[in-house]
Amino acid sequence: MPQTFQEAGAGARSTAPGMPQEKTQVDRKRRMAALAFADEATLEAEAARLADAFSYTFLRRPEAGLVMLEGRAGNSGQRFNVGEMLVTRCVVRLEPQGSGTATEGYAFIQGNRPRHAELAALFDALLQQADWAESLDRSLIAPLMARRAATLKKRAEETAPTKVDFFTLARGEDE
Amino acid sequence: MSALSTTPGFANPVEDAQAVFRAALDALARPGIPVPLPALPPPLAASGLSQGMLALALTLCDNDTPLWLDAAADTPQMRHHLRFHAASPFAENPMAATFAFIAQPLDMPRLDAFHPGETNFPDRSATLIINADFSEHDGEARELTGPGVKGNDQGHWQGFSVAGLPLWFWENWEANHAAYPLGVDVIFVESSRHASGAAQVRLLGLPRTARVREKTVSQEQPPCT
Repeated sequence: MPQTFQEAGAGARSTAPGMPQEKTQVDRKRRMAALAFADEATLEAEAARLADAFSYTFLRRPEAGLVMLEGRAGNSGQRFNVGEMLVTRCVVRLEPQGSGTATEGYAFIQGNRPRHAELAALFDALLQQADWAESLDRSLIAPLMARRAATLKKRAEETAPTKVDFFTLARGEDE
Repeated sequence: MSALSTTPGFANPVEDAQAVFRAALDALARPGIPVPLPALPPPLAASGLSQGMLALALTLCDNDTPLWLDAAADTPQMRHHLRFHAASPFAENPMAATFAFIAQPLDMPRLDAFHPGETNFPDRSATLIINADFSEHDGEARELTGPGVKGNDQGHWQGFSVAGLPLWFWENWEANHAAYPLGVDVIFVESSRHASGAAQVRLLGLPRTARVREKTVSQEQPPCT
Protein backbone atom coordinates (compact mmCIF):
# COMPACT_ATOMS: atom_id res chain seq x y z
CA MET A 1 0.00 0.00 0.00
CA PRO A 2 1.54 3.32 -0.96
CA GLN A 3 2.22 5.63 1.89
CA THR A 4 3.67 9.10 2.11
CA PHE A 5 7.28 9.32 3.15
CA GLN A 6 8.23 12.05 5.54
CA GLU A 7 11.63 11.54 6.93
CA ALA A 8 14.35 13.83 8.06
CA GLY A 9 17.84 13.11 6.90
CA ALA A 10 17.66 9.50 5.82
CA GLY A 11 20.59 8.73 3.63
CA ALA A 12 21.89 12.23 3.92
CA ARG A 13 24.87 11.18 6.00
CA SER A 14 27.93 12.41 4.26
CA THR A 15 30.99 10.34 3.57
CA ALA A 16 34.61 11.30 3.42
CA PRO A 17 35.33 13.36 0.33
CA GLY A 18 36.76 11.40 -2.53
CA MET A 19 40.43 11.75 -3.31
CA PRO A 20 40.79 13.74 -6.51
CA GLN A 21 43.89 11.88 -7.75
CA GLU A 22 41.95 8.63 -7.96
CA LYS A 23 39.69 8.73 -10.96
CA THR A 24 37.54 5.83 -9.79
CA GLN A 25 36.84 7.48 -6.46
CA VAL A 26 33.44 9.13 -6.69
CA ASP A 27 31.46 10.50 -3.83
CA ARG A 28 28.55 8.69 -2.28
CA LYS A 29 25.91 10.84 -3.90
CA ARG A 30 27.10 9.95 -7.37
CA ARG A 31 27.42 6.30 -6.41
CA MET A 32 23.87 6.25 -5.09
CA ALA A 33 22.65 7.94 -8.26
CA ALA A 34 24.47 5.37 -10.38
CA LEU A 35 22.88 2.55 -8.37
CA ALA A 36 19.43 4.13 -8.68
CA PHE A 37 19.72 4.46 -12.47
CA ALA A 38 21.21 0.97 -12.89
CA ASP A 39 19.18 -1.86 -14.30
CA GLU A 40 18.25 -4.51 -11.81
CA ALA A 41 19.88 -7.37 -13.74
CA THR A 42 23.33 -5.77 -13.53
CA LEU A 43 23.04 -5.33 -9.78
CA GLU A 44 21.68 -8.86 -9.41
CA ALA A 45 24.61 -10.30 -11.36
CA GLU A 46 27.15 -8.35 -9.33
CA ALA A 47 25.51 -9.44 -6.06
CA ALA A 48 25.52 -13.06 -7.22
CA ARG A 49 29.21 -12.81 -8.09
CA LEU A 50 30.03 -11.58 -4.59
CA ALA A 51 27.53 -13.76 -2.74
CA ASP A 52 28.56 -15.33 0.56
CA ALA A 53 31.22 -12.66 1.09
CA PHE A 54 28.96 -10.57 3.33
CA SER A 55 25.85 -10.71 5.44
CA TYR A 56 23.24 -8.03 5.95
CA THR A 57 19.98 -7.45 7.77
CA PHE A 58 17.07 -5.16 7.01
CA LEU A 59 16.60 -2.05 9.10
CA ARG A 60 13.69 -1.17 6.88
CA ARG A 61 12.37 -3.70 4.40
CA PRO A 62 11.73 -2.42 0.88
CA GLU A 63 8.48 -0.46 0.87
CA ALA A 64 6.83 1.61 -1.82
CA GLY A 65 5.32 5.02 -1.23
CA LEU A 66 4.81 8.42 -2.70
CA VAL A 67 7.12 11.41 -2.46
CA MET A 68 6.08 14.92 -3.37
CA LEU A 69 8.38 16.51 -5.91
CA GLU A 70 8.88 20.22 -5.59
CA GLY A 71 10.02 22.64 -8.23
CA ARG A 72 10.79 26.31 -8.74
CA ALA A 73 9.89 28.17 -11.92
CA GLY A 74 13.15 29.10 -13.59
CA ASN A 75 14.91 27.49 -10.63
CA SER A 76 14.43 30.69 -8.64
CA GLY A 77 10.70 31.32 -8.19
CA GLN A 78 8.31 30.17 -5.50
CA ARG A 79 8.38 26.51 -4.56
CA PHE A 80 5.46 24.56 -5.94
CA ASN A 81 4.44 20.92 -5.97
CA VAL A 82 5.16 19.30 -9.32
CA GLY A 83 3.45 16.04 -8.46
CA GLU A 84 3.92 12.80 -6.60
CA MET A 85 6.34 10.08 -7.60
CA LEU A 86 6.21 6.42 -6.66
CA VAL A 87 9.41 5.49 -4.86
CA THR A 88 10.70 2.34 -3.19
CA ARG A 89 12.98 2.79 -0.22
CA CYS A 90 15.06 0.34 1.73
CA VAL A 91 17.68 0.44 4.48
CA VAL A 92 20.06 -2.42 5.25
CA ARG A 93 22.72 -2.92 7.87
CA LEU A 94 25.87 -4.65 6.69
CA GLU A 95 27.92 -6.57 9.22
CA PRO A 96 31.65 -5.99 8.83
CA GLN A 97 34.10 -8.65 7.69
CA GLY A 98 36.84 -8.95 10.29
CA SER A 99 37.82 -5.48 11.42
CA GLY A 100 35.85 -2.35 10.64
CA THR A 101 32.43 -1.11 11.64
CA ALA A 102 28.98 -2.02 10.44
CA THR A 103 27.58 0.31 7.80
CA GLU A 104 24.04 1.32 6.86
CA GLY A 105 23.04 1.41 3.22
CA TYR A 106 20.15 3.55 1.96
CA ALA A 107 18.32 3.44 -1.32
CA PHE A 108 15.48 5.40 -2.86
CA ILE A 109 14.47 3.98 -6.24
CA GLN A 110 11.93 5.27 -8.73
CA GLY A 111 8.89 3.03 -9.13
CA ASN A 112 7.80 -0.03 -7.20
CA ARG A 113 11.02 -2.06 -7.38
CA PRO A 114 11.65 -3.79 -4.05
CA ARG A 115 14.52 -5.99 -5.24
CA HIS A 116 16.29 -3.09 -6.94
CA ALA A 117 15.98 -1.01 -3.74
CA GLU A 118 17.37 -3.85 -1.66
CA LEU A 119 20.36 -4.36 -3.95
CA ALA A 120 21.06 -0.63 -4.24
CA ALA A 121 20.98 -0.29 -0.45
CA LEU A 122 23.27 -3.28 -0.11
CA PHE A 123 25.82 -1.82 -2.53
CA ASP A 124 25.58 1.57 -0.83
CA ALA A 125 26.50 -0.15 2.44
CA LEU A 126 29.33 -2.11 0.81
CA LEU A 127 30.73 1.02 -0.82
CA GLN A 128 31.07 2.64 2.59
CA GLN A 129 33.43 -0.11 3.70
CA ALA A 130 37.01 0.54 2.73
CA ASP A 131 37.71 -3.09 1.77
CA TRP A 132 34.99 -3.02 -0.84
CA ALA A 133 34.87 0.54 -2.09
CA GLU A 134 37.77 0.46 -4.49
CA SER A 135 37.02 -2.83 -6.20
CA LEU A 136 33.31 -2.09 -6.46
CA ASP A 137 33.96 1.33 -7.89
CA ARG A 138 35.92 -0.35 -10.63
CA SER A 139 33.72 -3.38 -11.26
CA LEU A 140 30.28 -1.82 -10.80
CA ILE A 141 30.04 1.94 -10.41
CA ALA A 142 32.36 2.96 -13.26
CA PRO A 143 30.58 0.80 -15.89
CA LEU A 144 27.18 1.96 -14.59
CA MET A 145 28.18 5.59 -14.88
CA ALA A 146 29.65 5.06 -18.33
CA ARG A 147 26.45 3.41 -19.50
CA ARG A 148 24.36 6.20 -18.01
CA ALA A 149 26.52 8.83 -19.71
CA ALA A 150 26.19 6.98 -23.03
CA THR A 151 22.41 6.84 -22.67
CA LEU A 152 22.21 10.56 -21.96
CA LYS A 153 24.53 11.35 -24.86
CA LYS A 154 22.50 9.22 -27.26
CA ARG A 155 19.30 10.88 -26.12
CA ALA A 156 20.83 14.32 -26.55
CA GLU A 157 22.05 13.40 -30.03
CA GLU A 158 18.62 12.15 -31.00
CA THR A 159 16.98 15.28 -29.68
CA ALA A 160 19.40 17.83 -31.11
CA PRO A 161 18.38 17.45 -34.83
CA THR A 162 14.73 18.10 -33.92
CA LYS A 163 15.51 21.47 -32.41
CA VAL A 164 13.47 24.27 -33.90
CA ASP A 165 14.57 27.90 -33.81
CA PHE A 166 11.61 30.21 -33.87
CA PHE A 167 11.94 33.55 -35.51
CA THR A 168 9.52 36.01 -36.97
CA LEU A 169 9.62 36.88 -40.64
CA ALA A 170 9.13 40.51 -41.54
CA ARG A 171 5.85 40.35 -43.39
CA GLY A 172 5.96 43.82 -44.75
CA GLU A 173 2.43 44.76 -43.68
CA ASP A 174 3.48 48.18 -42.61
CA GLU A 175 4.53 49.22 -46.04
CA MET B 1 30.36 7.01 11.24
CA SER B 2 27.67 8.01 13.67
CA ALA B 3 27.92 6.65 17.20
CA LEU B 4 24.19 5.93 17.16
CA SER B 5 23.47 2.64 15.53
CA THR B 6 20.12 1.99 13.94
CA THR B 7 18.30 -1.16 14.98
CA PRO B 8 15.26 -2.82 13.44
CA GLY B 9 11.73 -2.10 14.64
CA PHE B 10 8.93 -4.66 14.37
CA ALA B 11 9.82 -7.89 12.59
CA ASN B 12 6.73 -7.46 10.38
CA PRO B 13 6.06 -3.73 10.46
CA VAL B 14 2.57 -3.78 8.98
CA GLU B 15 1.09 -6.88 10.64
CA ASP B 16 2.65 -6.25 14.04
CA ALA B 17 1.63 -2.59 14.19
CA GLN B 18 -1.92 -3.52 13.19
CA ALA B 19 -2.13 -6.16 15.92
CA VAL B 20 -0.75 -3.76 18.54
CA PHE B 21 -3.15 -1.04 17.39
CA ARG B 22 -6.04 -3.46 17.84
CA ALA B 23 -4.84 -4.24 21.38
CA ALA B 24 -4.66 -0.52 22.24
CA LEU B 25 -8.16 -0.06 20.84
CA ASP B 26 -9.48 -2.96 22.93
CA ALA B 27 -7.77 -1.62 26.04
CA LEU B 28 -9.47 1.76 25.69
CA ALA B 29 -12.82 0.19 24.77
CA ARG B 30 -12.78 -2.04 27.89
CA PRO B 31 -11.37 0.17 30.61
CA GLY B 32 -9.71 -1.62 33.49
CA ILE B 33 -9.33 -4.99 31.78
CA PRO B 34 -5.74 -5.91 30.88
CA VAL B 35 -5.19 -6.72 27.19
CA PRO B 36 -2.13 -8.74 26.11
CA LEU B 37 0.13 -7.19 23.49
CA PRO B 38 0.33 -9.61 20.56
CA ALA B 39 3.69 -8.42 19.21
CA LEU B 40 6.79 -6.76 20.60
CA PRO B 41 9.74 -5.14 18.82
CA PRO B 42 13.23 -6.20 19.85
CA PRO B 43 14.34 -4.44 23.04
CA LEU B 44 16.46 -1.35 22.60
CA ALA B 45 19.64 -1.42 24.62
CA ALA B 46 20.17 1.53 26.96
CA SER B 47 16.64 2.75 26.43
CA GLY B 48 14.24 4.04 29.02
CA LEU B 49 11.22 2.62 27.22
CA SER B 50 10.15 -0.95 27.92
CA GLN B 51 9.42 -3.23 24.98
CA GLY B 52 5.70 -2.76 25.49
CA MET B 53 5.96 1.04 25.40
CA LEU B 54 8.23 0.84 22.38
CA ALA B 55 5.60 -1.31 20.64
CA LEU B 56 3.01 1.43 21.19
CA ALA B 57 5.43 4.14 20.08
CA LEU B 58 6.15 2.36 16.80
CA THR B 59 2.43 1.72 16.28
CA LEU B 60 0.91 5.07 17.16
CA CYS B 61 3.46 7.71 16.24
CA ASP B 62 4.07 9.18 12.83
CA ASN B 63 5.17 12.47 11.32
CA ASP B 64 1.92 14.19 12.42
CA THR B 65 2.18 13.33 16.10
CA PRO B 66 4.63 15.31 18.22
CA LEU B 67 5.73 13.05 21.03
CA TRP B 68 7.14 13.81 24.43
CA LEU B 69 9.50 11.56 26.35
CA ASP B 70 10.01 11.92 30.08
CA ALA B 71 13.54 12.36 31.41
CA ALA B 72 13.97 8.63 32.04
CA ALA B 73 13.08 7.74 28.44
CA ASP B 74 14.70 10.64 26.63
CA THR B 75 18.04 9.27 25.44
CA PRO B 76 19.80 10.12 22.17
CA GLN B 77 19.52 6.46 21.15
CA MET B 78 15.76 6.50 21.80
CA ARG B 79 15.30 9.68 19.77
CA HIS B 80 17.34 8.27 16.93
CA HIS B 81 15.27 5.08 16.96
CA LEU B 82 11.91 6.88 16.94
CA ARG B 83 13.05 9.38 14.33
CA PHE B 84 14.13 6.56 12.05
CA HIS B 85 11.10 4.29 12.46
CA ALA B 86 8.27 6.71 13.22
CA ALA B 87 9.65 9.99 11.76
CA SER B 88 8.00 11.81 14.66
CA PRO B 89 8.83 15.32 15.74
CA PHE B 90 9.72 15.71 19.43
CA ALA B 91 7.79 18.07 21.67
CA GLU B 92 10.01 19.85 24.14
CA ASN B 93 7.14 20.53 26.51
CA PRO B 94 4.30 18.19 27.45
CA MET B 95 1.54 20.60 26.36
CA ALA B 96 2.64 20.31 22.71
CA ALA B 97 2.61 16.52 22.64
CA THR B 98 0.07 14.21 21.02
CA PHE B 99 1.59 11.19 22.71
CA ALA B 100 3.53 11.33 25.97
CA PHE B 101 5.69 8.40 27.01
CA ILE B 102 6.31 8.20 30.72
CA ALA B 103 8.84 5.61 31.83
CA GLN B 104 9.14 6.91 35.41
CA PRO B 105 5.62 7.87 36.56
CA LEU B 106 6.73 8.98 40.04
CA ASP B 107 8.42 12.00 38.42
CA MET B 108 5.72 12.74 35.85
CA PRO B 109 4.13 16.16 35.39
CA ARG B 110 0.57 16.68 36.66
CA LEU B 111 -2.18 15.59 34.28
CA ASP B 112 -3.14 19.20 33.54
CA ALA B 113 0.33 19.75 32.06
CA PHE B 114 -0.81 17.76 29.01
CA HIS B 115 -3.08 18.97 26.25
CA PRO B 116 -6.76 18.35 27.13
CA GLY B 117 -8.06 19.10 23.63
CA GLU B 118 -10.21 22.03 22.56
CA THR B 119 -13.94 22.42 23.11
CA ASN B 120 -14.56 22.18 19.36
CA PHE B 121 -11.99 19.40 18.91
CA PRO B 122 -11.73 17.27 22.07
CA ASP B 123 -9.88 14.66 20.00
CA ARG B 124 -6.85 16.94 19.84
CA SER B 125 -5.95 15.92 23.38
CA ALA B 126 -2.84 14.05 24.46
CA THR B 127 -2.66 10.33 25.09
CA LEU B 128 -0.37 9.30 27.93
CA ILE B 129 1.48 6.00 27.74
CA ILE B 130 2.56 5.19 31.28
CA ASN B 131 4.87 2.47 32.52
CA ALA B 132 3.19 0.63 35.41
CA ASP B 133 2.61 -2.71 37.06
CA PHE B 134 -0.73 -4.43 37.43
CA SER B 135 -0.06 -6.79 40.28
CA GLU B 136 -3.10 -8.84 41.05
CA HIS B 137 -1.61 -10.52 44.14
CA ASP B 138 -2.17 -7.38 46.19
CA GLY B 139 -5.81 -7.48 45.28
CA GLU B 140 -7.57 -4.81 43.31
CA ALA B 141 -7.08 -1.48 44.97
CA ARG B 142 -9.45 0.53 42.80
CA GLU B 143 -12.50 0.18 40.67
CA LEU B 144 -13.89 2.13 37.80
CA THR B 145 -17.08 2.51 35.85
CA GLY B 146 -18.19 4.28 32.69
CA PRO B 147 -18.73 3.45 29.02
CA GLY B 148 -17.20 0.10 28.13
CA VAL B 149 -17.59 -1.39 31.59
CA LYS B 150 -20.04 -4.26 31.53
CA GLY B 151 -23.16 -3.41 33.48
CA ASN B 152 -22.13 0.19 34.14
CA ASP B 153 -25.76 1.24 33.72
CA GLN B 154 -26.69 -1.04 36.64
CA GLY B 155 -24.03 0.44 38.86
CA HIS B 156 -21.39 -2.20 38.21
CA TRP B 157 -17.78 -1.26 38.94
CA GLN B 158 -14.76 -2.99 37.40
CA GLY B 159 -11.93 -3.67 39.83
CA PHE B 160 -8.35 -3.05 38.76
CA SER B 161 -4.94 -2.34 40.17
CA VAL B 162 -2.14 -0.15 38.89
CA ALA B 163 0.99 0.23 41.00
CA GLY B 164 3.81 2.75 40.91
CA LEU B 165 1.82 5.96 40.40
CA PRO B 166 2.41 9.23 42.27
CA LEU B 167 0.12 9.94 45.24
CA TRP B 168 -1.67 12.80 43.49
CA PHE B 169 -2.57 10.74 40.42
CA TRP B 170 -6.12 9.68 41.29
CA GLU B 171 -7.06 13.09 42.63
CA ASN B 172 -5.85 14.56 39.31
CA TRP B 173 -7.76 11.89 37.48
CA GLU B 174 -11.01 13.01 39.11
CA ALA B 175 -10.47 16.51 37.72
CA ASN B 176 -9.52 15.05 34.33
CA HIS B 177 -12.73 12.98 34.26
CA ALA B 178 -14.81 15.97 35.37
CA ALA B 179 -13.51 18.05 32.46
CA TYR B 180 -15.20 15.71 29.95
CA PRO B 181 -15.40 16.04 26.94
CA LEU B 182 -11.94 17.49 27.40
CA GLY B 183 -9.16 15.60 29.14
CA VAL B 184 -6.34 13.18 28.47
CA ASP B 185 -6.56 9.42 27.96
CA VAL B 186 -4.12 7.00 29.54
CA ILE B 187 -2.80 3.62 28.49
CA PHE B 188 -0.81 1.82 31.17
CA VAL B 189 1.79 -0.64 29.92
CA GLU B 190 3.14 -3.41 32.09
CA SER B 191 6.86 -2.89 32.60
CA SER B 192 7.70 -6.51 31.77
CA ARG B 193 6.05 -9.87 31.56
CA HIS B 194 8.25 -11.18 34.39
CA ALA B 195 6.87 -8.75 36.95
CA SER B 196 3.44 -10.33 36.92
CA GLY B 197 4.17 -13.78 35.54
CA ALA B 198 1.76 -13.20 32.67
CA ALA B 199 2.55 -14.79 29.32
CA GLN B 200 2.58 -11.48 27.49
CA VAL B 201 3.09 -7.82 28.30
CA ARG B 202 -0.33 -6.27 28.88
CA LEU B 203 -2.04 -2.91 28.43
CA LEU B 204 -4.70 -1.33 30.58
CA GLY B 205 -6.78 1.49 29.20
CA LEU B 206 -8.09 4.44 31.17
CA PRO B 207 -10.09 6.74 28.88
CA ARG B 208 -11.27 10.11 30.17
CA THR B 209 -14.80 8.69 30.48
CA ALA B 210 -13.75 6.36 33.31
CA ARG B 211 -14.83 7.26 36.85
CA VAL B 212 -12.43 5.81 39.40
CA ARG B 213 -12.83 5.27 43.14
CA GLU B 214 -11.05 3.36 45.86
CA LYS B 215 -12.38 -0.13 46.13
CA THR B 216 -14.77 -0.60 49.01
CA VAL B 217 -14.29 -3.91 50.81
CA SER B 218 -17.48 -5.88 50.57
CA GLN B 219 -19.10 -7.07 53.76
CA GLU B 220 -19.28 -10.73 52.78
CA GLN B 221 -15.52 -11.19 52.77
CA PRO B 222 -14.13 -12.81 55.91
CA PRO B 223 -12.12 -10.34 57.98
CA CYS B 224 -8.36 -10.75 58.03
CA THR B 225 -6.97 -12.29 61.17
